[in-house]
Amino acid sequence: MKNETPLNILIIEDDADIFILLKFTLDGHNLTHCFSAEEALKIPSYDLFDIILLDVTLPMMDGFTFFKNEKECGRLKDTPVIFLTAKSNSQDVVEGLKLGAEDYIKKPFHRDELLQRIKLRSRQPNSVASKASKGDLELDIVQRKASITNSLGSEEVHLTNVEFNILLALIETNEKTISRDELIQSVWGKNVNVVPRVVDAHLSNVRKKIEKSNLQIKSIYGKGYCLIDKVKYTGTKNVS
Amino acid sequence: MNKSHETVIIESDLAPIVPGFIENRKSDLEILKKAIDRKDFPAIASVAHKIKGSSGGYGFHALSQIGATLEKISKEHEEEQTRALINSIDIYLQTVKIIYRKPA
Repeated sequence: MKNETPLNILIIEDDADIFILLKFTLDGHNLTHCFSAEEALKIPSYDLFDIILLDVTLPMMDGFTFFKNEKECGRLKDTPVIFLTAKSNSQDVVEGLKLGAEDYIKKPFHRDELLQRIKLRSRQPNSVASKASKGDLELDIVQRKASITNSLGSEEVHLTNVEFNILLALIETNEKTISRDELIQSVWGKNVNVVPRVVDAHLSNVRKKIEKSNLQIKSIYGKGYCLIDKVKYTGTKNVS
Repeated sequence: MNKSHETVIIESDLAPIVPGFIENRKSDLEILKKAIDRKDFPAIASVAHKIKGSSGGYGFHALSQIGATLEKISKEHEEEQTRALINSIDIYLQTVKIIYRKPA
């Protein structure tokens, strides 16, 4: 597993012991953990994730309701979801699959089986949402590569993993403002303490790296950030 | 369950997290004991559900099975059997022997 491309996995699980076990089992992958569905709802976009492991029995909103709601409002379009739960009767399995989940793994689970299923069900390189783009900027989510394509040709933009995730989060918000907290949660995950200066430093780097693009990152005082088209904002080429 | 111990073989990469898991189950046991004294069966079923779900993944399959039975029995408000199963968890946690082996 360690020699394979790391997956971005969102785990929505209220049992700390299960999460710790998953953390050990999924060593080498990028994990984001939410203790409740309510926490997960704060994530700006699920498109960053290759797969979501979703517990059914959660403290307030249960996993089925979360999944159904997020499907209906279109936020869970392309990200595969595996229900991971100790509910084990066949009716529950059928309900989960009927809702449109990719798979259903019963707890207690066998670690090797879990790994195999995640590998099989996670977003594949040729899937629809393997790319995100805006303006002349394109992100290949699977290869983790960014490029700017214009009349002069295509040029690769070398980004760190964090910078890549920042741009992805900004693209996913589609010109809407993303707050600093939302950006931190999307890029670094929940329960990670990231000081503002670190965010500013990464944003500064990203701004420099996409200077040749027709896009720019705009800071909106007191609200957050958005990725906008330079052409629409004449004279604001160097907006901070 | 009698007092003879159960030996559990666990993959050695889990060694750092197993002691914490056992401690958490001991905390669960205290919650269960208090819950049965006040006949709070929903609370027992909830803890039992958690024990059922997490124990097997760590390799404690017998404990997972006790959790499953306890969840079922507590939902039926069977006090005597519920007490017996909570006692089984107590004995299990006191007597279980763990052997670590290298993952295949």
